[in-house]
Amino acid sequence: MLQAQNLHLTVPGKVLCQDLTLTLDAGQCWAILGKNGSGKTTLIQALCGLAKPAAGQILLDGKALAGIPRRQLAQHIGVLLQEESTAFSGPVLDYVLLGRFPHAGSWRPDDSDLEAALQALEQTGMVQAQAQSFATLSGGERQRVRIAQLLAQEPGILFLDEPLQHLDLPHQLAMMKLLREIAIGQRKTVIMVLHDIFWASHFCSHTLLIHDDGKILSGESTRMFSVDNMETLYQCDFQEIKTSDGNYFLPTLE
Amino acid sequence: MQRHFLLLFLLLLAPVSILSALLSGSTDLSLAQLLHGSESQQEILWQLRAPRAASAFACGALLALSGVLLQVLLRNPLADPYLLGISGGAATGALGAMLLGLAAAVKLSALGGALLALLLVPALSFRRHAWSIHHLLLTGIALSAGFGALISLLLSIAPSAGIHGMLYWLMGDLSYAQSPGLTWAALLAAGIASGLLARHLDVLAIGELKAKSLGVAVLPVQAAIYLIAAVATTAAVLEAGSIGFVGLVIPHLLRLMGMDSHRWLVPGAILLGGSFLTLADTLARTLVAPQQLPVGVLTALTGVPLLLFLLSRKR
Repeated sequence: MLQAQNLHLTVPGKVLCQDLTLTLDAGQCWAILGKNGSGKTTLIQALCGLAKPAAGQILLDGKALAGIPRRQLAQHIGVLLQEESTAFSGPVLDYVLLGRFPHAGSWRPDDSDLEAALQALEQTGMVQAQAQSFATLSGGERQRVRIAQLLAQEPGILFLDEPLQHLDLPHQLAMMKLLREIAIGQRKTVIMVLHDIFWASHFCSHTLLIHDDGKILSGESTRMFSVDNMETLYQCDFQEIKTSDGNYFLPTLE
Repeated sequence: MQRHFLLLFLLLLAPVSILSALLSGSTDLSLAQLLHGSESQQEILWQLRAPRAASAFACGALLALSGVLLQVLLRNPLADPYLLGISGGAATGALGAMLLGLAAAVKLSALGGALLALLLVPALSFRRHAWSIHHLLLTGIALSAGFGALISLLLSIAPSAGIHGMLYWLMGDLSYAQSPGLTWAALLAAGIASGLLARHLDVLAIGELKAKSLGVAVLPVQAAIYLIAAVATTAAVLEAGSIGFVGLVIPHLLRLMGMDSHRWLVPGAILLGGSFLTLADTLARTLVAPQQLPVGVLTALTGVPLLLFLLSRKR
């Protein structure tokens, strides 16, 4: 369980959020929505311990995040960054194995590391590319390998900053199903920054809306998605389209 | 699998390179003479060739290892051991001592110059409790340029009789390398430390923030990498002057041949760097004998085509 208490986040010249108190529990799948520059990435990086908040604290199972050694923290919390390096010249499997670093016992990966890496590649549908050079993959394939690295890390809490970027629609659907299964089915916590309201409203149990003025609205997804909330969040006109698959929120075309 | 064969090949190449350095020279020796030669042959072998071959191997290994480490630390494939001003500092110190006629103090003065650069570069790039790698790189380049100007100044005011020795020092030369003990001690320490850091190096190579999220204590590891690379470079430069290109080309050769992860790259660089410089120095001694070429010229002349060939073969 991850708790944020009275969290203040700022970037030079702007307050991103004030006095945020939030509990992220096992079995929850969170979407974070907001306009560009509203502070989604900053929030994620603070919650996973990569950036220091201006004020307030974050607790992992009741213990202050700042006091936990990096390596131990990485066994509990993993993060897919919005921009990760493309400079890796080795094979795909080696890249995914880097995710095993927090569990590394010896100077080289052992059988349990290999097993976790292969299973993660299987889950993201990249296992057939394991021997291929990471550098030769397409953008979408690379993204799936990066997510496999995060899964191989086996953290209880997974942060993903725009996990769907570069993925085609079928792979976006498969990824959302996978992430939801990890959260709801395997009782982990998944928190992701998304730009697609449809995926968020259909696959995420909880949603957090970051407004430009630092106001934050969070709770169960069923209560978050309405034309009013979307219009306030994105500051443009929205329409709701009802279908048998659920409701779509789309900007009104002028 | 390919990596296993490559490492095996390198393990064989190392003794072959040392053997060839022992056997060839102004008087060629046979394998039998190596063990049961005359007294004068034994003297040539153990007083002259063996220490020089040992020095060459250790210096090559140290430079290649330093290149591997700095390419990760600076996240720049063009990084080489001389980027951070250590060799510039050492050269300024050495040339200064030569100019003043203090032949005995050349090494000590070079050490002073190297240590000055080694401490100055991180101190100047450390700001507000954060170490910016970008700043480190720029500070090193700026300091190197400063030392480069000082070296030119020293060369321009040196009497023409002394210029030759100075140029050899600058180009890298193993003819005065007769104390391999210290160099090997540095290699042993740097090699073991880098081996222990191999997995950290792998993770750090994909980015500071990602490494942090995977549990690497980034700042202490970066400081350790810098220190190991600095010690390795200083040890090599003191023994052999500024031998260029080994630190840049050897890591890339190995990566192009599929040795990407550092538990392969570190031992690979030590073996190939050492063998490469030992063979290059043997050529430098024998190619235009009895004249000797500065080995730094040969490392570049042989390393450049080799690297270009491998680059052109890569998809």
